[in-house]
Order: sequence, then structure tokens, then C-alpha cells
Amino acid sequence: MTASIEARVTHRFRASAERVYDAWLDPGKAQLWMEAALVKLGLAGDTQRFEIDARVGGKFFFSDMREGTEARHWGTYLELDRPRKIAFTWITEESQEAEPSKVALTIEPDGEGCMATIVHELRSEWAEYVSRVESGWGAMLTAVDESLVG
Amino acid sequence: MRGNRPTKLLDYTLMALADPLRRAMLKRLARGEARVTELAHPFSVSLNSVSKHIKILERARLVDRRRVGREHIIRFRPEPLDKVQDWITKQQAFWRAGLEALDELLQREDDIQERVK
Repeated sequence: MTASIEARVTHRFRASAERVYDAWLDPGKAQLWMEAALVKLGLAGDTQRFEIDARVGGKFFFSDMREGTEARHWGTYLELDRPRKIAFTWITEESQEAEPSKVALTIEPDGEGCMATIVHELRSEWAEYVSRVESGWGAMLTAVDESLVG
Repeated sequence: MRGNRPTKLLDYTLMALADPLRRAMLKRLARGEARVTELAHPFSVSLNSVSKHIKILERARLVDRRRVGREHIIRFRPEPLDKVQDWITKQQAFWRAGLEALDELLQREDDIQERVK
């Protein structure tokens, strides 16, 4: 059980760490797989803007149309360490600018392929708070759940 | 209505949960509703301080209150906890779809390479 508030996913690739890393940052390829991902999620995958400035401190921006509204996503690259790690902030509305959530993609070579892990951490400020205190977030949810069952 | 937006509410929820005393109060309330005085008692804090903590929990909609005569009865509302879980589930689905789509793209590249050979 983890103390911080995060979404974590892991995926094994047959492709090498370098190819996964490069496809993440190549604007043409990234647009293709992002559109395909949106379609997987039941959305139109109709991207309006797609921009990647792949350097530390550089920004990315992409948006797609969802029922007539433009869903926007943007952030700043915090760490670019080919082929191991890509870290960036992730923002979906202006109010999050001051305390953005953070995403880290780590890529570990695994045989001829690689294992990729994405950790999306919600608002580092709050995550830190929660992990610092003794019982933590997970224990809180468990306690509340148990009380409700009991 | 800025205050009603889900992300803002999520912030309020996380802030409300960041404090050990407020979590202890919620645990107590999860066992059943309580008067403000009852809620203050086990924690040896002033009514004034408990009142401030309740306001923070109310803003996060983790509790609500009703008045019975001169008493305020505080009740636990678990729904915002679901919102946090929803955020985690939604982001996992998003990134999982991203990695799968990226994998499929790279596999298509490999297939094309194979055919060229």
C-alpha cells in the first residue's frame, strides 16, 4: 500500500527502451499513439493541437475535441534521460498551474524489450503531506472502509 | 461556481485529509454521527478548534451538519473519498491506453520492417 496519492501503470514492450523513449517524444509518432489511446478510451481522438518541445524546461501541449469542447493538456519537461526516464508536469486547467500533478515514465531494459512504468502523482504538495503523517492515505481509506462495513 | 468544480473539490478533500486530527475525527464519525461537543471530547482540543476543523471538512464535503435544537449534529459523507479513487482509476485507464497504443504503433513498425526484408 502506498502512502502518496498516485496512479501507477506498468507495461512490457517487445521494443527496446530507446524506441519507446523516442516514440514518446517524437511529435508525429506521439500524436498517432495518443489519438489511438483516446479512441481506446471511447473518445473521438480528434486532436486539434499537438506540440512537443523535448528539452528540460520545454513544454508540450495537446488538445482534442470532446463533444464540441476542446480538452487541453499541457506541461513542462522536468527530466529527460534517454532512454531511462521522462518526467513532466501534467496540467488540464489553469487553476492547476501553481501546483501541477507530476508524471514520471521510467523505462527499464528487459531482455530485448523493456518494462515501462508510469507514475502519475497528484499535486506533490498534498502527496507529501499525506505520506509524512503516520497513518497515511491508504490506512485512512482502510479504516473508513472497515468502519463502514462494521 | 468555481468552488463546485471537481478538481477544486479534490484539492479540498486532500487538504482536509492531510491533517491527522481531522482524519481521527472522520474515523470517529464513520462509526456514526456525533454532536460537536462529543467530537471535541476524545481529542482534548477546544470547541473553537474543533469547529475550525469541521469547517474544513465541510468545505471538502466530507461531513455535513444539521441542527437539532441548539445542538449541531455532524455526519460523515464518504462520497469525496470516491472522487479521489475515481481520479486514480481514470488516470490509470488513460496511461494504460497510452502505453498500449504506443506498443501497437511500435509493433506495426516492426511488421512493416518484416515485410520489407
